[in-house]
Amino acid sequence: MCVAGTRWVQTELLKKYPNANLRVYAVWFNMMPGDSRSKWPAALLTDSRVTHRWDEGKVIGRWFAPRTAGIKPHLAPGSAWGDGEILWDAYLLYGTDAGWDETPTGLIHWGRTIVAGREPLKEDFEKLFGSKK
Amino acid sequence: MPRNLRSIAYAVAILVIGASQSGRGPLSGSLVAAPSLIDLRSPDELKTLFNRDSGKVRLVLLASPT
Repeated sequence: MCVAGTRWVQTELLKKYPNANLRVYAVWFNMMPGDSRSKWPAALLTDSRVTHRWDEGKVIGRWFAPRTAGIKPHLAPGSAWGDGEILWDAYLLYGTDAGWDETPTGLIHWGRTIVAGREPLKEDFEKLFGSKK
Repeated sequence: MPRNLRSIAYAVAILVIGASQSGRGPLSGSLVAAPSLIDLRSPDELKTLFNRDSGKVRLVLLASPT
């Protein structure tokens, strides 16, 4: 599922908006049986605006999960999230004025799974970068 | 020069010329460095990246590798 979602980000967003003033942080960690650092799909997200990080301790997923209650109003239509301990197969889209002190501000939408929330994400890209294709 | 030797010489010449030009053509400018995967150990590391890129739209992806 994650691979399908990240492939979609590459082909439907990054490739279609090559001039967008954008930064992507792809945080990878083990969630499924058989996952490992050696299985990282290096050829999937090759855009130069993507920064890849390997999170062996799942610290980012664990950090975001308890904070999702506060960002529920920004959950993208079509997405679903319970109260898991680790947020994964998910995206969070922040605007240009976003900053991170205690928590990140400027959230536009977040979605889970990436595939389930892809249409709102695509619409957000069109609004943000429609003139920069 | 025998005909078959001449053919081989032509083929070699074409390969040499092609190889010498391969670094000069428009394709060389489109090569993209392979992405690297760096270990992350705390949310503060992501926070630093996030704030460094202030002024840009930022997309955080949380994904497993399979």
